[in-house]
Amino acid sequence: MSELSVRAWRDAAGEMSRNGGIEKLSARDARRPLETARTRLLVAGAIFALCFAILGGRLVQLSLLGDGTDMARTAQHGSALLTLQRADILDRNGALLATNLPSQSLYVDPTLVLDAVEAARKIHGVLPELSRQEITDKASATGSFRWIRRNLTPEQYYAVNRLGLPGFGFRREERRVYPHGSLFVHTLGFAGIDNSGLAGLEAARDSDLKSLAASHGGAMITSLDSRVQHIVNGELAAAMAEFDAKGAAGIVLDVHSGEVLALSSLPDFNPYDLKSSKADQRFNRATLGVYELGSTFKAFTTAMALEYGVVDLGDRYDATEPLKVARFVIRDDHPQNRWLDIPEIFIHSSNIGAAQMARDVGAERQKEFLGRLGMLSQLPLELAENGRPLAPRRWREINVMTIGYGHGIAVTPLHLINGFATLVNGGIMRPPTLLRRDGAVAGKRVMTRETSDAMRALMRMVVEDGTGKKAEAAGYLVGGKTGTAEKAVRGGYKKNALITTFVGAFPMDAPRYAVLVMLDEPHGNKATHGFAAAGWNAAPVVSRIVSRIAPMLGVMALLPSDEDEEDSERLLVRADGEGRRFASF
Amino acid sequence: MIRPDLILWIGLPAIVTIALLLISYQVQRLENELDRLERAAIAQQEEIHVLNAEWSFLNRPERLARLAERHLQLAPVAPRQMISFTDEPPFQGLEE
Repeated sequence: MSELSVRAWRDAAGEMSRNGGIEKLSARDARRPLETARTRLLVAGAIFALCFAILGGRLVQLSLLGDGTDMARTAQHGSALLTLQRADILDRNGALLATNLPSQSLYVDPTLVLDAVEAARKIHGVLPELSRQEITDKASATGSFRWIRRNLTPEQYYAVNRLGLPGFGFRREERRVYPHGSLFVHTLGFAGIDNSGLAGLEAARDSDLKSLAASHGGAMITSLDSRVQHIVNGELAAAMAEFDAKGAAGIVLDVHSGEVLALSSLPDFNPYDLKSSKADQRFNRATLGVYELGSTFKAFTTAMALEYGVVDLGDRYDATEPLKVARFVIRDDHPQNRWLDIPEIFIHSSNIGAAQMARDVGAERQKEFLGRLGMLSQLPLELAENGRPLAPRRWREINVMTIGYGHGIAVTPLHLINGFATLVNGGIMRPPTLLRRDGAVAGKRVMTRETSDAMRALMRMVVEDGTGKKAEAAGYLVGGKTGTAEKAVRGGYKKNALITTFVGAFPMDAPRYAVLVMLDEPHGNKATHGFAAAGWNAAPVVSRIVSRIAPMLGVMALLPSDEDEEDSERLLVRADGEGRRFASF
Repeated sequence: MIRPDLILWIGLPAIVTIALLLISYQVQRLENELDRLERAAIAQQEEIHVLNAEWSFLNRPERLARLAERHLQLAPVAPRQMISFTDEPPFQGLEE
């Protein structure tokens, strides 16, 4: 380019000099435009060179150094992943418990609607559950956006789309779906229409679920087991019907990790239909409701007395007649009217004996021990619904004694089963959790291994010879404690309105799972000879649950023919499961 | 007179321009293809997601129990049917 112009200039200059005859030009005059041209050429050349240098530099920057917006756009292509607003929730075996599904929502932009009445008529034709008036009002409202119907089914979407109405449009949304319906409604809770958690795990771990989804971090794996949950739910529902109970709660807990395998509270509700659910159905009896759970607390009293060395298993208390304390009288439900040793107090569930044991331990130590078992504070379960226990502000002697047999203190069923897990797992308290834990979980030691071993033996005796005989599940060595308490109402207790509980663990030679069943206001029937105590209604439910879930969870049955020892002698075995060593009292 | 270097200096930019044009079109085509494939991949993922939900819905323990009761002649495992390997008596068939 530059060479070309130089030559043109030269030719022009030569022409000028040749035509000297017409217009005389001196050599100096002829040379001046040449010099000017050369200068201009130089300047133009420099400018061009600069431009090319810039272009070249940019080229190097783009291709070799690799930054700039274009590169960024290309890099984006690397991850073509579906992004949802909330992460999935899985059970411990990978079954899907909650997920987000895409759906279409219908809206209207009233400024674009041609004929609101005609449009309403047509939409009413395909979505008959919407009233014509409602659609007309929305389609002729002021403003430019109104929802008509959220989350249409694919058929509804197709039908409305086919109408081809101007002003009506769809927006892609996501809907939270629970494939198991109401099975997990009290643990998972539910999420609202705008995909924020409103109850249960969905609310307590809302931000985690959202950030997991945004970062493609996979699903949230819970400790729940859908098979166990199904069994617990089914057995509780059957028991509720059989004993005409108002409600029921059931929990299965891994005693070594604190993982909750199943947590059920009945009656429950449909997570898709909140409007028609009653407050009673939405109330979580297992984690939010606090109850005076009665005799089950005698296990804590006995463990406490053994742990502090206040009693030995052979010590005896006078239970010949009701105990008078201040203006109160403590009576036994199953009076033996004699001196009872510690295992007898536990097996026959003697209020008199437990109250005296608690009094001998004292307020200070009782408060400390129950505190260490977590009975006096909220548990850190991953739920929005965690009940706070009710305990007396001042622990007088009468409080100490009533708490000794489970009155005057109200805790959630979850507190109770977690305390029992500690009693049987060797004495280590671990907070319960709804999330799957891998590997060993550190905990706090609350009592010695010896106390825990003694408690296991005592709980096994309750099922073999005591109030909990109906909890036995052949081969699985169930042990536990019954509790029947009258419901506390304003200013006293309500007769015939009972809370019956059985809480225990299996297999008692090396406990793996704790099970709790609580019935709210059960009634006696012909099969129970009119009795409504826990041994008659809650204990058999535990038996049925254990015999169904134990084979699933890989717990081996120990049948009488397997061993030469008498049934009653298979009481005490080391918790680590190595070399079964038996001892009897 | 046309000098060979003139041909070179005119020809080279022309070739480069045409090559650039072709490459640019090719890149655009590839970009479109990539977009299409990515949309297809996301649609597939969405479909898998929906199918997973359906799979889980069909695998509800309650439904499986109902179906098993209707179509299978099986009872729940009894404790007596389960035994661990360590409890098994040693195999003696090969001893002489």
